Amino acid sequence: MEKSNQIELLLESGRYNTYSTNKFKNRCSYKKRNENEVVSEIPGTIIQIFVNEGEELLKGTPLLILEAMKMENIIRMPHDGKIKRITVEKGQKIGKHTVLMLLE
Amino acid sequence: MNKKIDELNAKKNKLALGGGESAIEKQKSIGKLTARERIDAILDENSFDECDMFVHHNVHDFGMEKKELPCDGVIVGTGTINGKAICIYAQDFTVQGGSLGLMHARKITKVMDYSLKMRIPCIGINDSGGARIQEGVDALAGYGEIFYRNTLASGVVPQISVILGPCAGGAVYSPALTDFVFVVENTSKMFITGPNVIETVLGEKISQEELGGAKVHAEITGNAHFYAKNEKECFQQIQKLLSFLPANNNEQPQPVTPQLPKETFNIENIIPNDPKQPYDVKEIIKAIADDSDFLEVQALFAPNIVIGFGRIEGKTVGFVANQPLYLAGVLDCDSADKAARFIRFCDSFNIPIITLEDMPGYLPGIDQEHAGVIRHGAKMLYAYSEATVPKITVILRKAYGGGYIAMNSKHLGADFVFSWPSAEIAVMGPEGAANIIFKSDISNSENPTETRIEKVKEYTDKFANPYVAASKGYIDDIIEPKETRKKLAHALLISQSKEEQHPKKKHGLPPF
Repeated sequence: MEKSNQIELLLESGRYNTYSTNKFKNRCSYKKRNENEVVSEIPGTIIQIFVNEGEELLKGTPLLILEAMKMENIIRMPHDGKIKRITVEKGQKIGKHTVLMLLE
Repeated sequence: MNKKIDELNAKKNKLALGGGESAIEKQKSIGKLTARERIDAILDENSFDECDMFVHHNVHDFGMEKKELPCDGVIVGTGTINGKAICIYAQDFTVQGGSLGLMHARKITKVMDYSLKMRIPCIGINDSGGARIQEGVDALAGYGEIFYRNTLASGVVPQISVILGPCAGGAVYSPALTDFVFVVENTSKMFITGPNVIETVLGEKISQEELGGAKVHAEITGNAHFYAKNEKECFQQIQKLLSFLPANNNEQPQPVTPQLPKETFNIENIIPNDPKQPYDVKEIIKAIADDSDFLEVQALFAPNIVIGFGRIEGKTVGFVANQPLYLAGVLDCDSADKAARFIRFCDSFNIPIITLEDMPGYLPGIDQEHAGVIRHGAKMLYAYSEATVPKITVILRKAYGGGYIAMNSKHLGADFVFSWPSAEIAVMGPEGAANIIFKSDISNSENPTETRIEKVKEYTDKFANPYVAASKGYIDDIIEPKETRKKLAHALLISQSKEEQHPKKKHGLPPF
């Protein structure tokens, strides 16, 4: 047993001396979603941007088209608000969980 | 006649060469055996009886009409392992990359049909680049016909998949539907979308090995049940596994000569006195099982629960045991999923289940809750409750809260529940319980720390033992560790002709 995997695990019933697993060590921590960030749920290419910085928009207004998996996905305003900053440009390839726009 | 016989032999010899000498050399140069060598290595010597050697594809497009594909890229037939009948097929990578077309699939489904009709196990050796694109939708039809039979045979005959090469796209779903998947280091590769697609679509670079190599499936995904360093070791694992299993769901596993556990495993001294210290529960299994022989299933995946086969008094049993060595032996999504499937396998094939319990609770965490620990944990309750094979539990140490119920408690239909005197059976751990029950005593005290310690001790003395549960009949007996094997053997003897009927239904709805 590798010493480096030795851990003290805190459970509801107390602390235990035990060993960790690789999967446990690599688990992702939870991140709370920032409502003022428009984030990509899938990697792809930005093929069109409909709005400009400073515009005040209603919930549901189309913001941009993200082409992914051979589909054109329209990304819309998640809530009423103002476009503070656009962080991507037309033609840009983006990864998953990339911030596309900042709102306020 | 002699001339015709010579002609036949010449034809067979040519077909037996598969993709030809240079393709065979290539296969060997990367450390792989050929399809025929693999079959010969798994089966008893000279027991292989091949069928459908002369099957030929029926494709007339893309120049395929001129292509000879010996045996259509898959060797199928029947044979024996340790004298017991078996159906087997092996994809031949030397023939067009082992690609699957309609006739290739029909050869596979033919032996699968034998397996189901004759009620004998089926072994599939996968080594294929995937669908034969030239055959179009026919190749997809072929896969579908295999999956359908995998499902019909599930729970009727043991089904084994051996991944000895690439197994990608739709091809992965036949192994996933079977009972046990064997992988070999550096040889096995399984994924739905390969590294090339991932790079093109997502721009993420990853090697085949990192994405879906043997280790990944044995340790991370849980898709593989047995992991071997090379093909030879893999074949030994298959032979060993089959020795524990019956040929079908109407038979009992064949008993062997009973043997005592090895004396090196002293059951009295394995568990540390301090309930917070770990130990290896496999030592307890080895102190109980015949000849201390234990075949662990999914050893690398979710090691906080241990599952596998052994024997008591010569008869196969399935062990399910919390493993304090890893993550204190907690239940979590993966361990519940792992145990639940194993319990259902044992129940399908008339293998009594022995549960060894030492679990401190569920793993707390946002990741666990969001990954659906409720749904996964429920699979275990379902599997235990549904099982009608003999079910025996031994509580070794901790049995707290939901875990106490989940680990084959009397309340889920356990036939016998024994407990060691070291057991702590309680609604929760003493510290948590004392903090709730004596909350005001502790907060109103002039010395809360001291009062808390006092109250934890009070709770521990009163409830953290097996006597309260035994006084209510939830535990049949409190036993000394050294009596365990004898008690289990007796319980198994008593439950040999157990019959339990559940309400008739088309099928239940386990939470998967």
